[in-house]
Amino acid sequence: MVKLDRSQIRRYARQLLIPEIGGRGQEKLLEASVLVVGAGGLGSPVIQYLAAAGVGMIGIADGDEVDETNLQRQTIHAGNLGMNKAESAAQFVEKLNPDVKVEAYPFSVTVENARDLVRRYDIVVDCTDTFPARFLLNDACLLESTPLVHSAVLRFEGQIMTIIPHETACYRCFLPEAPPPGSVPTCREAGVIGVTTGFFGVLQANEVIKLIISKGELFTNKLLYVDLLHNDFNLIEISKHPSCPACGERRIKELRSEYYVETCRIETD
Amino acid sequence: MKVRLPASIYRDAEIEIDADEITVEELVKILSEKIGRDLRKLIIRNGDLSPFVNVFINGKNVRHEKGLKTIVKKGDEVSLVPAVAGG
Amino acid sequence: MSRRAESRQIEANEVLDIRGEVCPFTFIETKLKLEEMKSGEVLEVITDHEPAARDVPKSVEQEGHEVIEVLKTGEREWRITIRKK
Ligand SMILES: [Zn+2]
Repeated sequence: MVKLDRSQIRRYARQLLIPEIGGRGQEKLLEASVLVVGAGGLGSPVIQYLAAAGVGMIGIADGDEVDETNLQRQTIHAGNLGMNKAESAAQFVEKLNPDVKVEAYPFSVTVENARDLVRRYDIVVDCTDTFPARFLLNDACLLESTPLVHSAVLRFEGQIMTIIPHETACYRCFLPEAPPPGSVPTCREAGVIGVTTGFFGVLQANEVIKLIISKGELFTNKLLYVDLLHNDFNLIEISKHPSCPACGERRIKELRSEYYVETCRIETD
Repeated sequence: MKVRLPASIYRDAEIEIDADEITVEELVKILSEKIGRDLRKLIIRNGDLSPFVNVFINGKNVRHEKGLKTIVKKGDEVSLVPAVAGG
Repeated sequence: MSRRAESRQIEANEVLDIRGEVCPFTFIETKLKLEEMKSGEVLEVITDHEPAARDVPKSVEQEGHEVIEVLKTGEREWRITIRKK
């Protein structure tokens, strides 16, 4: 069991006072490991708040480099133009909280490396920006039985959902396959504002913290869809689907590259 | 049956439709007449369910079932959710 | 302000000396110590911070523990005896 030292008691004082956290909860946070996939708009607040709260081990995977168009929403990369985002995010974490061990993976998550990466962590946070990456993480987390906190955004809108593999609805229960490439606008084409990624990233970090301390309620078997322009909050029930191609009766047994191209359909044989 | 529309599709609204058993396609038609705006262009594309919008009946995406031909029954709850993937 | 319990003989299982600490750390240290202890065990907290002699018992009671007594044991020293819930 971790024993909090004097400086940790000071650093975490405000959350140690919360009955649901306290010393035990803080120890759980310090012992937890979380993989954040994508250090962009969603990843920035996720990484920032998990590191601040003292999550002991944070893995950050991102193959992209920081560019000027990122800075309007990706708040942790100050002064790091041109640097790999995972490495830039790791620098941010090291400055913010020395209690956190951070591992930067300066590459994208692929069919080849997904399961191996996911396996090293207690919880995975999906902060990616494409349908194939989202389906890949969902399927890898099902195969490794690792909880996954999903979120996706566009303009002023976004959604969040938490998945406990084989217990609650998965991302493919919600969306069995992706829209054909090019049919749905991306943030690059349709835009997004930092407050949207900030809002949903903070909700994701909150889900992770509750998962770690085993307190409160989660967005499991439900999806929160919010339109921040109109302040329209929709909590939608999502059921675990028996014919879900990933977690249903004919669940997937392995990751195959053909599941993550075009519409990401899983053809059951 | 109750239909929940998010603001980005129409305006934040919960609309009651009085019908016993209709398909999603018929529901979209009745809904459009009721709100005075043609949602078919948004929800239906090339005779199929548009990739932009997901239709849920009691928490189940109709893409798992028969798409536009899926049956909606009296008392069902229908929600529409736009597709997003950005991060 | 001291709550005198009849049983001054109660043996504390643990003693926590937080002289030098101020609020809110007085309570946080007490709370963390109590989390480590078993239900029914007794903790004696020594503080030299006057507000803590007032506030720590209040906060500890709010968390459901029993404050057995608060004694002024010196010019600037208080002993708070708590039974863990
Ligand atoms: Zn599923």
